Amino acid sequence: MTPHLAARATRRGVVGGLLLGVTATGCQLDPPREDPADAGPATSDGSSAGADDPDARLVQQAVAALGAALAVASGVARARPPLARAVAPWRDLHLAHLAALEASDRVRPQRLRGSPADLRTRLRRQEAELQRDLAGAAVAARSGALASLLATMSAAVAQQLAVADAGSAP
Amino acid sequence: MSPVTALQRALSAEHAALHVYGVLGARTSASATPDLLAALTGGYSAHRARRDQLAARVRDRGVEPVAADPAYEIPSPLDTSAEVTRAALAVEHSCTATYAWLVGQTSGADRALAVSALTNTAVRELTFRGSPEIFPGAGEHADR
Repeated sequence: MTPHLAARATRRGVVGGLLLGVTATGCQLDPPREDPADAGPATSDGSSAGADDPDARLVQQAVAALGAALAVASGVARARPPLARAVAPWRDLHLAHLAALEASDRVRPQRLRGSPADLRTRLRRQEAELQRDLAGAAVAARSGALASLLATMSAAVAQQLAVADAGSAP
Repeated sequence: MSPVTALQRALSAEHAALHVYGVLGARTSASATPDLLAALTGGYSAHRARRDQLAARVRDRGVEPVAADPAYEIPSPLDTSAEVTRAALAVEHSCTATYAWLVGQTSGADRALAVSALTNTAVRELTFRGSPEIFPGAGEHADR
């Protein structure tokens, strides 16, 4: 298999396999927390889903981080409607990544206030944190396929940050 | 595939990238397209550094790093700055896919290097008129 084909083959199998492993123990991966400010339990029943599976835990953490970023992007759009179009690429990216992790995209926009510049700064800080989290999770993953998936997500966020730094987006 | 074999493959890809970058630089005018030449020079330096990192990791395992081939297929034509830019983008696309693959074949410090290289090449794509992708290096459109 060429490197190209191997990279393309990663998405469908890996997360499905991880989810199977988690659900087989009677747990489910939770959707992103509705309010990122809530430090709630990782699962709906309060248990630590996938506690025996480090990769399932990494997926949960990635989903939480993506949910938090999506909440901020949505919050920026809500706080400053003229920015909605500019933050759309961020939202689309996070929604696609959540879908790849087979997680819910139901996230309550974070309540944000401030000038457009303040909101841009808040958004970029959140995205930079997400990018680091995803890269760290990629390095930590036991599964090579999951690692590739998380690394490509991190790279995608880095691309959007570069576009934002170039001044064409928040 | 063993991690060292995977590192060797990535090293081969970097050899190819450097060769193509050298040709692209030679086809680029410093006076007419200084920004493009600067981007190519930056890309060349970054790939040379990655090549050296990969070679060092292979050598650390007591294995001789693969050498560059005598010649590589060069994209053509390269008569305009747009064609040179497209060729550079293709190089970065290929390297992005290679590093996304390498991430999955390695662990620990080797994987950290691959993750970092993946991010760098993905961002460098934008320098050559690439567009942000949902899954850079992973064939984003293959699965949507």
